[in-house]
Amino acid sequence: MNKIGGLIFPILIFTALGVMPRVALTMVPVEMLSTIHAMGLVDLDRILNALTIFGLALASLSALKNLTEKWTTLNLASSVASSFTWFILSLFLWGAGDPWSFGEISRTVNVMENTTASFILNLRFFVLLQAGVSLLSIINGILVYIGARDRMRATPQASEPSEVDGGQSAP
Amino acid sequence: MPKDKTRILTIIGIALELAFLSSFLTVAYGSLNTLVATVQGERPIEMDMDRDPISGDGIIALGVNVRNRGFYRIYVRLHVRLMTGPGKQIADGTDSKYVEPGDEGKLSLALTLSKDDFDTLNLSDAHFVVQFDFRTFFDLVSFGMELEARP
Repeated sequence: MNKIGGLIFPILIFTALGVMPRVALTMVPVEMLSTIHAMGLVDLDRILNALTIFGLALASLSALKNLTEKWTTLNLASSVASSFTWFILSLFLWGAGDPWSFGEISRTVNVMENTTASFILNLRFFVLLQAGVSLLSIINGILVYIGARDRMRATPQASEPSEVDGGQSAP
Repeated sequence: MPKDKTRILTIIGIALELAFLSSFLTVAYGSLNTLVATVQGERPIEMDMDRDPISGDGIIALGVNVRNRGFYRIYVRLHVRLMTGPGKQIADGTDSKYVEPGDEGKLSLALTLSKDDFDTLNLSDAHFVVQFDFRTFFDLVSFGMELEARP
């Protein structure tokens, strides 16, 4: 992948996670935001900040993955770390800001003066499905690395010219 | 050989992602549609208070009409407890059922109070604890709610 192509995905990832949620939030009515804040259902500021951090991390990993050769360990490490970070991000979103709830959201809110309500939303099935997808993605990354490394070893001439050139130009 | 394996894994991965997206969207849309249809239906919650003319026991009858407007069968359960001020339970009732997509189901429960409890019942002091459970998508996705309301 060329350098410009390799940078398009990271920019898209950061835009989707770091910029778009903030823009979308400016379009939500203020009354709705203050109601959500008052009920204590989700901490929107915390979620937005976390999304920005996830966006930065995933964009960096994507850039690293796209700008390195597939047979390098750096490419493998960035591929595995990227899949793992996507999974943590999904845990964070399924847990409404709490990744360690593993998809089970529970909240207690005061609905009216004399009424309290407790909610438990169990979305663990989706977390399991996401874990399966992430695991497949990691195995896929490892197989891509092994395949590229084997091809590289089978055709050593491809990497040698630079070493030969370096050797000739050295004093 | 690894190229074939990566191709197969990529196809499985895409299939899982599609399964994930379609199941999530249909569950979310169906559950919200069911909630809206149930709440907006004609007399979604029915409540009736009566006294047995022979024994003198009090009966509080509750009914909830559930309309499944989703894509999957749903399981709904309602458990209501009537508590007195100090936290003593004086009556409770439970009903549950599965409702097929496009169908309607009525949860009916009756809270029976003894004659003495019914006579001494002070509604400003008592409170209801309503527990509602909802399961869908082959019982894999669930939502539970407990509401404590003082009249």
